Amino acid sequence: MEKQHLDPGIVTVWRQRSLMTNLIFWLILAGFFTCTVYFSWPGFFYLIAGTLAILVALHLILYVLVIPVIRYRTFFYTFRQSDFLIRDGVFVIRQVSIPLARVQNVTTEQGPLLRRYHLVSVSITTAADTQTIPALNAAEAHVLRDRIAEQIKENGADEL
Amino acid sequence: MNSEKKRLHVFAVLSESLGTLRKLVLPLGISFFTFLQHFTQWAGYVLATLAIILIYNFFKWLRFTYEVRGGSFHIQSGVLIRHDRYIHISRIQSVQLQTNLLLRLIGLVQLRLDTVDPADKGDVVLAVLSHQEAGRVRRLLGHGDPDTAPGANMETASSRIVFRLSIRNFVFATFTSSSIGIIGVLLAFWSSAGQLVPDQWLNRSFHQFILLPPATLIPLILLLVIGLWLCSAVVTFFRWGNFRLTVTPEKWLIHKGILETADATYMKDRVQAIRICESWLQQLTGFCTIYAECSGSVNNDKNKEGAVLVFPILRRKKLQAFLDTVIPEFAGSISCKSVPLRSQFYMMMLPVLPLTVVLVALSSFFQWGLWLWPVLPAAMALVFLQSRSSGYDLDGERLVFSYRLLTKTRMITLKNRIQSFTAHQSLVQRRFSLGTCSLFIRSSAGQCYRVRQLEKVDSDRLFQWFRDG
Repeated sequence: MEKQHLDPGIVTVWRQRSLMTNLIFWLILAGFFTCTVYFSWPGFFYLIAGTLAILVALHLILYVLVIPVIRYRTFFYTFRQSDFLIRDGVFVIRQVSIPLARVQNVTTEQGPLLRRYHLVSVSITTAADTQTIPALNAAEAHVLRDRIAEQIKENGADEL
Repeated sequence: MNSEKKRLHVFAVLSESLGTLRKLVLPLGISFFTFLQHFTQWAGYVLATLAIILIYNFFKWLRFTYEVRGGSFHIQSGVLIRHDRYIHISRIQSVQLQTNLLLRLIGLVQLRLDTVDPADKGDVVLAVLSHQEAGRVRRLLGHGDPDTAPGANMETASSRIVFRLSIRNFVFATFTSSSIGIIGVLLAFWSSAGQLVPDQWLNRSFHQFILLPPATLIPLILLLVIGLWLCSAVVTFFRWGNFRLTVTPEKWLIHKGILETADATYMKDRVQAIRICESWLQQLTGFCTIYAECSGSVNNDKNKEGAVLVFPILRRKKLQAFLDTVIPEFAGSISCKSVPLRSQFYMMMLPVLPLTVVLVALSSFFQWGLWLWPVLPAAMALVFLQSRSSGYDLDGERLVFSYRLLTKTRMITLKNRIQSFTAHQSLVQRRFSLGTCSLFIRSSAGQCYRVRQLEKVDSDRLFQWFRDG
């Protein structure tokens, strides 16, 4: 099978998630600023607030505009007959191979954001570690889940 | 095969109570001693607490039963909330008999079952049993010592091979292994000293200590170090003394300890990886220590991440023969192809560059910064050794990783024991066409092994080897 991208909808979901985190940062910052004004905290607190504001703005640009796209473009996964492959990373490229026979369980998760776009995040757990595919569309995820379940059934005796 | 419901030995009430008491007293620490001075005022409360603990543990004992029913081991426990635990016998990874000083005096043992559950879920412990009862449970669960089993015939007796620690190796082991233990003992001593001794006194004596002339100070420190070393050697002596490894076709039976003994059986097919460790002293003298990663919740030797100590000390020359008899699947050549020269350079540069920056900064701002420069060659030497020892070997289904943090370690595993395999490549590594490989093995906690800066070709080869399973 060809290596596949995630569902493109995930870019929007990542953006919305980061946006929410970012909003929380702004709220905290606003609280800090208000406190500084009201309780007339020393002047350098404005400096701190300013620095933090720049950092939060940077976070906004990076995590909402830039990183989701890059993450989408650099994340691939492949299913072969007997194993499952994830390849991701920008500076450090990581390739993980998990034989389907070693998979202990498959967990699917769907939060409110993912549900809006009919996406599912799939975690594949072996006896030693867990790998996650951030988003597949629901139909694909269920096909995958059933396929792995079948594999587990076939290799049921291989319990070491 | 069914058996009647049984309770633990009555002594469990007392030993469990002592355990609870110890848990109560230890956190109090030093304040406990001040409390003892006013003992008479509090005697009533103390007695009440003791009584409550005893009564509670009595009911706990009363409600704790175990039996074998329909192919599974069934444990009922809990005073207010009832727990029923069924463990399928075929799922029991190992059975361990342990004693501590108190139990040994009365001739009782503790039985511990390991299941596939991860270690944090807790082992199944039958806290106090008599010897015969423990032996019976062990046989019921199919982990009996073939020696004492009633039906042991000549065939099983001949297929058993026993490895013992020779006196010479044993003495050697106690002294080499303690090089690590010494730090632990020192730290433990220091942290407990902080609690017991008032700060002021400590400060004063420390000042006096520093003011001593070097001629007396240095021998004093040396004496202290040697004393601690001897202490830790003695500890190892008692822990590893009388070590005996019995190998049968399916199982290992490991017996160790002089005062506190531990008897454990492990199924051979549960072994996920074999680790051969050589500390510096051992490397110089040509010895090694052998550990095994087993799946299951083995959690004995806490400092070795729950791995099973297979044999504490063995001549490196005898290693091949040893592995051949102990676990033939994992035996074979362990001479590793080491990483290329450029990756050794790269590995040395990795810590050296940031370290140099830090040192330059420190020595330009502070006078004492200059004294830190010897750290640099020391770090370089360590990294050089580390890079020299890292490598891999591929031989059919067998994979050997060799690496070093402080202790040189070689890890042997089989393809079908590897849970997942990862290949990493960073930007710099891409430039030098190097790669890092890591793999996950199942053990009490998921264990990750890694070899850095392999030749990219080799890293690809390993990855392909794993995928073509």
